[in-house]
Amino acid sequence: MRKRVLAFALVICLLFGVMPMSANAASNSSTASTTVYYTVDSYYEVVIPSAINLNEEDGFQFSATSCSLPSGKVLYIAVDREKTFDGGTYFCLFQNKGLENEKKIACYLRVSSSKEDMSYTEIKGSPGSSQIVAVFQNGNLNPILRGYLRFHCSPSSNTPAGTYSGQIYFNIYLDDPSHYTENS
Amino acid sequence: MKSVIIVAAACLLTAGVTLFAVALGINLKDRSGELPASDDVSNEAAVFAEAASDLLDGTIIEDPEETSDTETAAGSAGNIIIPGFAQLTFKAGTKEQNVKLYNPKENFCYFMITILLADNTEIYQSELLAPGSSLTKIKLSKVLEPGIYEDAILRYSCFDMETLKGLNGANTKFTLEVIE
Repeated sequence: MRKRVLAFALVICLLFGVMPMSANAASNSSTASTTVYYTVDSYYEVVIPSAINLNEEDGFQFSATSCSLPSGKVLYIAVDREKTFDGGTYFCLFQNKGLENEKKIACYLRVSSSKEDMSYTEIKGSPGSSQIVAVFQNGNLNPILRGYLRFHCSPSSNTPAGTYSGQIYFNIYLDDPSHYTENS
Repeated sequence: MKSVIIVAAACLLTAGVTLFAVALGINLKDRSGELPASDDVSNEAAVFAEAASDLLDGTIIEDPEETSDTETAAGSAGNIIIPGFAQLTFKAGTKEQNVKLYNPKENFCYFMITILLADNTEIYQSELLAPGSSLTKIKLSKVLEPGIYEDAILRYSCFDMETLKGLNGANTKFTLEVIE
């Protein structure tokens, strides 16, 4: 009798031991969830010239190292007219700027699609003239429009020898592609 | 002898119940769709192929560095990498703000970063920032009201690291969102 009871108890134990496992396999009742966040920022990194030695290079090719833009926008790089041209029509390189013996050389700023492209648009300080030097599209590290800024300086025969320098300021902004025109 | 038969029967019964329960569980789990069935896998492949197609079309670019080559070597001594943002978010009612403004480590110049509103009101100016360093907390010169400030400006003034002579600089426009 005692053995029967023992055997019955053993069966009961085994059955109850197995039930949770089978129940877990059969149902999806024990679930958990984790919300994963990842914010994708719209950002870009563009490369501008810090300084250009016009004795070695005639210009600068704009590029980007990153260009993640909002939908429907393109990135424009334009010359800051006010800060670059000092109210004049042409970009000037100076020697001893601000001093009594200040000398300057006027330069033409010309923008084209590449270094090899000899057709260009003149960038002038006069109101209404185009200031855009490069246009980038989402994901493109090279400009889709324009992109090579060339300098053409013309010192006269009586220009004193020496090193002349000037600074260019750029405005970088996002805007609709439709706002781009050749004369913008 | 009788008890041995009972124990053997119990073991067989237990094994049978266990096998049945496991088989039933696996079957139900497959039906619930929690594990990707073969159709799901093919759908995933189709979605991936579509995304890849979009990538080639230029509409979605996740990793631009691998899709295009730049003609100009970024980060050389003659270049300055200027970071820009479409939008920054500030908190209203406090001057302390969390940001992520930086001077890329590839640069060879100091940055001085100035934040201006569209009307040229200066609300922040940094110290000189060396390449590879960043600003994560800034203190504005004034508290901003909640709202959207279009055409705010991040001005990067760049300076030679040896002579501190001014280099070419840039203004990047962004939308400043100030939230409660």
